[in-house]
Amino acid sequence: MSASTIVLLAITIQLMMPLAWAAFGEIISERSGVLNVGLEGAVLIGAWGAAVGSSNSGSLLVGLISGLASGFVLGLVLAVLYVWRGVDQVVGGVMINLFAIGFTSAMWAKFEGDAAGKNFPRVSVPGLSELPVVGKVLFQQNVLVYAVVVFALALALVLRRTQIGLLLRATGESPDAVDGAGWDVRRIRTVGVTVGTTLGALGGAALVLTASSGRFVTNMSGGIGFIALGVVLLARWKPVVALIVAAAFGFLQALQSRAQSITWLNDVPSEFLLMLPYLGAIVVVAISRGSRYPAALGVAWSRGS
Amino acid sequence: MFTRSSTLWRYVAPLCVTAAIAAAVITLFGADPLSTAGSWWNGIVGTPFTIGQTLEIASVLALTGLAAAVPFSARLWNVGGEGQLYAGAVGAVTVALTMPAGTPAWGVVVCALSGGSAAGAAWGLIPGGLRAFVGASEMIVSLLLNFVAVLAAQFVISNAFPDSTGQTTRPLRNGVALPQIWSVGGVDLGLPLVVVVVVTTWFVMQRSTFGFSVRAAGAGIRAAELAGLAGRRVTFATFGLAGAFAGLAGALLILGGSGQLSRGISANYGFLGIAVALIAGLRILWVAPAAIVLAALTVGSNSLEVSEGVPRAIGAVLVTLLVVTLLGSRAIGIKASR
Repeated sequence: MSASTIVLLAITIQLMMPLAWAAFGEIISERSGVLNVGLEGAVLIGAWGAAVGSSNSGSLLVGLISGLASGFVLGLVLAVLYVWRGVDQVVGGVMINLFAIGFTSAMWAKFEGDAAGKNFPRVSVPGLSELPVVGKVLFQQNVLVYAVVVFALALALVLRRTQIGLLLRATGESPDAVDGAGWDVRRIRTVGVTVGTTLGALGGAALVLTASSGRFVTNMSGGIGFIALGVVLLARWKPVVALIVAAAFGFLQALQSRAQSITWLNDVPSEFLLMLPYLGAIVVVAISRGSRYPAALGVAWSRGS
Repeated sequence: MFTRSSTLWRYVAPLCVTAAIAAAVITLFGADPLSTAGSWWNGIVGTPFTIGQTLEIASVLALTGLAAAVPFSARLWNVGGEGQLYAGAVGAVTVALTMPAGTPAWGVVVCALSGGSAAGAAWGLIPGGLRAFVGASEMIVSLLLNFVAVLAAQFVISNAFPDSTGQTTRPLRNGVALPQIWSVGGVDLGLPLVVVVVVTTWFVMQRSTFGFSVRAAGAGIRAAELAGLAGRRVTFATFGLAGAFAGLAGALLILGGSGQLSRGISANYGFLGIAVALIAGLRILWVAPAAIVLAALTVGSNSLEVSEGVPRAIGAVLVTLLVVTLLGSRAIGIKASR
């Protein structure tokens, strides 16, 4: 395998990571019964929070925490709207996304710090990183990439094998039964939405802290949150499948960033290459029409309605 | 009495919350909230030009508002107005720049307006068609198509008809523009055209069988199908119509504005149209005043960057805050069905 192909695949895995975090956030939210269209806003706010934190402190860890915290706060706001006030989840989400675009671009000017942008370093896994091809592609990545793979497996286990997972899925399928068993449906959904936006924000923070100048750029989420909605549909709410689908989208994004070194892509205008992930997501949405949604998805729950 | 006061409260509380957050944000930027409010107002009605600007943007927002309100009435989520607007702008520029040189200017304008609407309609029929015939989520597809349309516009700018800078398309031939009806304010024939479109749409939605089937679909697709109305046809038609409205908005931005297609031709007008439709409560005639209010907020905030040092993005923040708080207080909203 040529060196150029190996680089392409390594970038694929790197670009899979932010999308996978967002997709896991949406899986948790949708499993609890809330269709979070505001995920794109969570990704953007997470990127902004991470850029503000790291540019003011010079610390990657502070950047990561402030990114997560921004997503957490947005999640609380969304939970009030979706879960407690019963606001329509599509229009509420779209408005939150628009809010996030305006808020982050206005507030970046105010809160941008002077510290130089930093990126999480690549960490070679001892032994495994020496393997031919696979070593370079999979085991010389930054720590957030390894974390997302571990998280996929953990989330799959939690959803399938634990009581918390069962409760979360039941809340998305049959909130009345959960209520009847004495659990608080709204509280479970509040947790689902908030964990969901926090993970979405982690995807946004990763954009700033692993693959760019360490600075915020207006609307830098670029639809990752929307593509994640398609990823979740095709993966049928299964974390490990979602990780693989996210890798496919990472490949579509990587093609664009490596276009110069791939001969057969040299003549394709960059705009068309940039379209690929969005067109791919549209195809994914069209072919996943048979997916069986969580039965109570998208409908605010209140007792007796 | 209690219910009346609580209904009023649903409007007052969101306005207070939005105003309080606005004041806090403005103070954060080191400006005085009261004087900023004054500059804001001045930025809207200060000169004939700013009034004209408000009306020009209001006509764009009224069209993107219709592009949301008509499908929403059938409980179909067209959140792709932004992309349909870009498709319309691309269509209008392409038609205007490729017409034979001998065509009279008015002929080019008419063809470009039609071309823009047609391109927007075609763009809208992609999510509409995928919903109607494949069952794909029109909400996600129309959202994703926004990004594709912006990239397509960038391709047209940099490859198809670039000017020397590569940042915009080459300008249209002299005289190819909508005629001015109020030259001091820079208001063109687009404004009365939009008024006619809004009133016609209202009439169609109120009085025609089509309008009835749209509203029936909104009340519950299954019930509408039992009544013998084809759900697919409603989906297809509302998305085509919505795309045509947003596409016309894009054409107006070209033919009533700069005469060129540039990257930032739409300041999220497609998304603001959704806010317009929600504030209007999906009532077609109310789209017009809602569009004027949001256009005024937008135009007013444009001047703040210079006069008060407050970034113009604050306009979008306030509009969305207002809509979100109104949604939260249930003053506006979309009735849940299922």
